[in-house]
Amino acid sequence: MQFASSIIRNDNMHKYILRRVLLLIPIILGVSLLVFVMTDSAEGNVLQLIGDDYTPQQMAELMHEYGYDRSVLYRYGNYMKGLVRGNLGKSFIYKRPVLELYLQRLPATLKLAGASILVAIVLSIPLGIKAARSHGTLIDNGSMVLALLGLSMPNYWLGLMLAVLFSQKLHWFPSGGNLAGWKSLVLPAITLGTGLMATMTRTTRSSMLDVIRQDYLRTARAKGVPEKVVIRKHGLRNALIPIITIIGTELGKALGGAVVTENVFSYPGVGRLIIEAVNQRDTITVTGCLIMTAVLVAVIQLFVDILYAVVDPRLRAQYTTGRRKRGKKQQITTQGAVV
Amino acid sequence: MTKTVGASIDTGTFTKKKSQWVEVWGRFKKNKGAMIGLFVLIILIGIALTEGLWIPEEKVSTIVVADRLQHPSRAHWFGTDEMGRDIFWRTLYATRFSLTIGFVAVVVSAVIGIPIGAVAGYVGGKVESIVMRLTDIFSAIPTILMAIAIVSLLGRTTFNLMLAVGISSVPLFIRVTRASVLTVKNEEYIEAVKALGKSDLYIVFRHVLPNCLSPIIVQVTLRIASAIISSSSLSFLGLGIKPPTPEWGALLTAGKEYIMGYSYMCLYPGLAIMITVLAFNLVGDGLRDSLDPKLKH
Repeated sequence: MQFASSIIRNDNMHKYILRRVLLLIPIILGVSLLVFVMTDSAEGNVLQLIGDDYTPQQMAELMHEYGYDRSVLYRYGNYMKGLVRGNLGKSFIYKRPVLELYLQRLPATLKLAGASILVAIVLSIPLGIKAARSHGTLIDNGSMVLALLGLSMPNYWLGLMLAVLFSQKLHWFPSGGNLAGWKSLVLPAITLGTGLMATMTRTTRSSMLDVIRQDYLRTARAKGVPEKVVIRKHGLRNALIPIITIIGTELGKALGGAVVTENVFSYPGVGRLIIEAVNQRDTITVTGCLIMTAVLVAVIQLFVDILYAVVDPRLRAQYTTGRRKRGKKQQITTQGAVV
Repeated sequence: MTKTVGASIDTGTFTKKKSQWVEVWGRFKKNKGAMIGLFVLIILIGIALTEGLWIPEEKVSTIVVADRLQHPSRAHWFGTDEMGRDIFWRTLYATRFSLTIGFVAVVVSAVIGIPIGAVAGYVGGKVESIVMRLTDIFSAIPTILMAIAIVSLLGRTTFNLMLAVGISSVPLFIRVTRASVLTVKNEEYIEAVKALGKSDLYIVFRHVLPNCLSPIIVQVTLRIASAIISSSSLSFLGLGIKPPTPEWGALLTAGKEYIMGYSYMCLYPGLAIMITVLAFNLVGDGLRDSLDPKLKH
């Protein structure tokens, strides 16, 4: 960890991080425009639907308050003015600020996504390494079949089946809500984690397979380095870049996938909030939650990019000479072969 | 990675045009998993194409109150639903609907994504960076959330469901196509066509894209698998196809209400989805290995 912080303290690294952070701005602007225009023009917003309860006079006032008597771009401008100040508008249904609703639900979703990624990392990396080391054997083939099965399962179905087995039949874990502490996190985390685990096992295996064939691994063994150290230090460390990439993208996917899982288990996270809002046509809440989720995904991606630099000295050298991001990305995709 | 494929097609044209595909098939045949996947797919597509001919209509949709909620038995292999309809026949019948949704969704994303990716990769410069930045923005929103937003924008119909699932995976096709166009566009044979004075559009569609096909084919196969999962997830969330339409996601959604005590109602449609998706994944992986043997481990 000291190693990591010493790199980040490096001056050029500061510049790189700053540049990456600034790159977030156009992404946030773009995403919010896209989401805003999309949800704003969604058919029948709630104001039109609850019209019967209001007099035309009150209705007109409400329309004016929410800016529905002006153009989309005007409303977007207004919305962005609020967003900068941390104001995402007020929910039509809950009559509370959207940001407050979102932040209230966020910890549950982060807990779920974090737990499932953790389950996935802890199980998939050793399994992937084991599979690569015993390439072509029963263990290898078996774990690949398992991974493929994990990828092919609709996760809401897996969730339902787990709930039937472990909750209804065995009574080990609750089938929904989050009132039972860690116990209520187990089934949702497994449900969401299975798909992630499958992808990560496959990535770890293929990345390790690339590395295992390298000459430097043979050299290390010839030097008499213990096998454990060969795999951990010479092997895994070099195989890590694709694995980190996949953890980053999978974390983003987990935040999306949480929508489905949360709804299977009535787990009170952001995903459940989004679906409730969509069903009640609470457009402004949908907009806010989608934008915040996208921002969160972008921030995670930022951390992953910085992590690359910490793990791979060659990439670090690239950043510090100030090369553009695009060059770096191509570098990463060819990583396995180049290492 | 595509470089090899490009090169092999290139030399292939000197001898015999078919030889590359024969070679690919030869490699594909040796992959047991892929062959099993292909076999299952052929059966599934066969069911989807012919189901109107041999599945008795009354088995699928006739309501028999006396038979409601019966556990699997010899008379009803997968049991019956809350209306007394046979789940085995309904699951089988849903094959056409569910496969169609997957196919159409992927056609949508391929038709939009491939040309954009090809142009971006081939033209380069400002056009490319604008397209790619927009793609970045688009893909900052997780796919399923994107699909939810699109369905809620367009309204909840089957067609919109396919459109939403399709559009949300457009960035993937843009990326894959662009990446492989980049590897091909500087090859000598492209330069040769340019020297002949052909138009850029002609070059892209006649010479560049055909040489980029293999990663795209693999992607199409794998995306059909995930499109089937995404669309059924949306149905499950109440944003897609509604019961009693015979579609796997909708069958599952209907079964959800009776999950306590009648879990078989969810079990079989889910298994059907899993088997189908597994088959597509097996074929996709097999295609990747046989189209590009260098990548195979």
